[in-house]
Amino acid sequence: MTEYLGHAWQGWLGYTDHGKLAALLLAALLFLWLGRKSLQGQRRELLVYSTVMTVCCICPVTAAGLMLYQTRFYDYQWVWSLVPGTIVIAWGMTLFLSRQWQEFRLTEWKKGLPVTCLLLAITLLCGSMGGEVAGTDPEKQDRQQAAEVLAQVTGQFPEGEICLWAPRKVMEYTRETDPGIRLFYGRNLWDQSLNAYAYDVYQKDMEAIYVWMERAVWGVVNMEVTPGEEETGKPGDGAVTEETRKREDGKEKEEADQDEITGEACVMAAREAGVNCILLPQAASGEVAHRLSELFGGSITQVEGYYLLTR
Amino acid sequence: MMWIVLLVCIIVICVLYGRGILGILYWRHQPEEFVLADCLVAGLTVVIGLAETAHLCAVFLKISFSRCGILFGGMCILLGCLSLLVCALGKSRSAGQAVREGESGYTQKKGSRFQKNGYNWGKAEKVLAGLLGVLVVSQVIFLLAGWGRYLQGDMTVETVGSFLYTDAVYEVNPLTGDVYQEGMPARLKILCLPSLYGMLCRIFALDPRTVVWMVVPLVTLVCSYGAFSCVGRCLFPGDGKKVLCFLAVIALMLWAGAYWFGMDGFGLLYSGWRGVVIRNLVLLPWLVSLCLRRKWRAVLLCVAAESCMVWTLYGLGVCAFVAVGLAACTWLSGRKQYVTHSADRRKGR
Repeated sequence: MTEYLGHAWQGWLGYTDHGKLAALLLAALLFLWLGRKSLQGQRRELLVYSTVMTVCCICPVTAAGLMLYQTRFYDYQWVWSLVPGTIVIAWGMTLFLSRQWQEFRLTEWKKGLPVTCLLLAITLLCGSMGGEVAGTDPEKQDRQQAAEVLAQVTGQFPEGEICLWAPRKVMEYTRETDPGIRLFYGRNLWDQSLNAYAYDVYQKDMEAIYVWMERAVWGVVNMEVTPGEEETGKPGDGAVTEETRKREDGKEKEEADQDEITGEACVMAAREAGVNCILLPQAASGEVAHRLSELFGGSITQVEGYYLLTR
Repeated sequence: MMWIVLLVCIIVICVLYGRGILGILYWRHQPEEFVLADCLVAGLTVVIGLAETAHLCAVFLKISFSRCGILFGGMCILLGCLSLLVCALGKSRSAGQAVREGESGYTQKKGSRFQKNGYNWGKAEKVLAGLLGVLVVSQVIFLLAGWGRYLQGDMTVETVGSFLYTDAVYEVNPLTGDVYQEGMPARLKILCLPSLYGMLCRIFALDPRTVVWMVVPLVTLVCSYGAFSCVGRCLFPGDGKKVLCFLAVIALMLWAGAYWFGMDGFGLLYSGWRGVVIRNLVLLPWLVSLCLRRKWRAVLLCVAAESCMVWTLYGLGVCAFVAVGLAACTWLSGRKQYVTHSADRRKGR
């Protein structure tokens, strides 16, 4: 319960941090309550219900209760589904505007227009004002590039089944582009919320394999662990240049040190899992690609920005 | 351009089914105030119900997805015929009633069981409608252009794609394409939206991305404005200007609220295919309007539709909660009025 209370409180802070429509809702409720005598019976019910539910969603104790009701599957913001917020705000604003415009007479523009502009400005200020929205997917270019690479990969396997291991920026779009391609690991490895859709879990070293491939995008590859290497983070084959090493920040190094895995181990794990196609970023160097290809036991070709290892 | 055909088909089918189901639910009643928007949303709940039936057949009877699509198509045709029959009977009943009322001296209002919009369009209405139109068209353009999608925690396209590719429902994990090792939660497995989208893809030969990311959000947009217009009519009965202003403010709120996951505007513009978004923007506003009109039977459609498409654990979802909450407020206000009225009578007022 303490956990739920914490989530409810943090949720409310997050809810009011990102935008201020909650403030607009409270203002609308206040306005409607002040003019409640003019409301008819049915509309009062909506007002009473909305007010009670708004209070319940704000108060951490009741909000925690509502979160229990909606199950752990949903975060705090979804308890606000119980409040018809958009309806109440629009209802309040409509009544306010109709008063200012004297029942929407266009001749009353001297009073109505400035008030309308002010209300519009307040509404826009309560929103994001067209700013970037966190978590949305504007990466059309990435999707397109991934589709082009995947088309070349499927071209290599005219009839056979493909099981792919590639960097995230290809894997992310693979299943939506071609549901016939199987993946070594899915999007749920980096988007934890997707784990709610299945009981299946990955083996412990899968995350390390994922990190290895993502580091390969930056040219930071570790082929074999040699004494002292773990301290410095230098790869054994010397494939990493000084420049590429500078790119990685301290946090990445720490993560890598914790989940150290070699390229050999990754390729062997991929082979065991039935992977028959690896897309290795060209930043990882040709030497590494050839070495991995030998281990993988197949051929190597080049496609747009990647070495394609097949078997 | 096949997606336009699909969009139009969905809307027409929803209206037809809506007329049918509302005609059946309120058959014995006097001509009701159900407008086109009511039919649209009611029809959507029926389509969800049909999809759920086909989906459950695929999950429990292990029939292939193609057969599931055929079953869905067959049920759609049957229900379409039934709806047409109900509409025809309802019309003849209304006509007969009009004659009887005419004979007994009553005057019949223009319109049938489903009233037509009879607003007089003055200057103010035209300005408000223009404003509303601009805002709605801008949202349509935003959706068509695909300027933003929120895909975190969502695998609808992958799921639809895997259904179509394997010709089976949840045989493989949509994220990897591998067979499930431990399976998936049963309460999620019975949710029908991926099957519905998949069947639409199969019937209209469209790509899952087109259906899920473009057509369905547009349907949600149309239905949500329909649902909000029902609320507007309840809040401002017979006042066209206020209804239009209400809808324009709603459109503005949806733009303004598109800043965070969980907000109505965000849902509509960035993830209109998700069950929670359809619930929040279509079912809930319509349910509020139904509760305000005391149409409790139709409320059941919303509750059932929600349990078919949104994780609600034991079937108790937001729609049921809101309906009970509004019903409790109705009951309490009725008691309050009764107590006040009784006290007034005792005092001899």
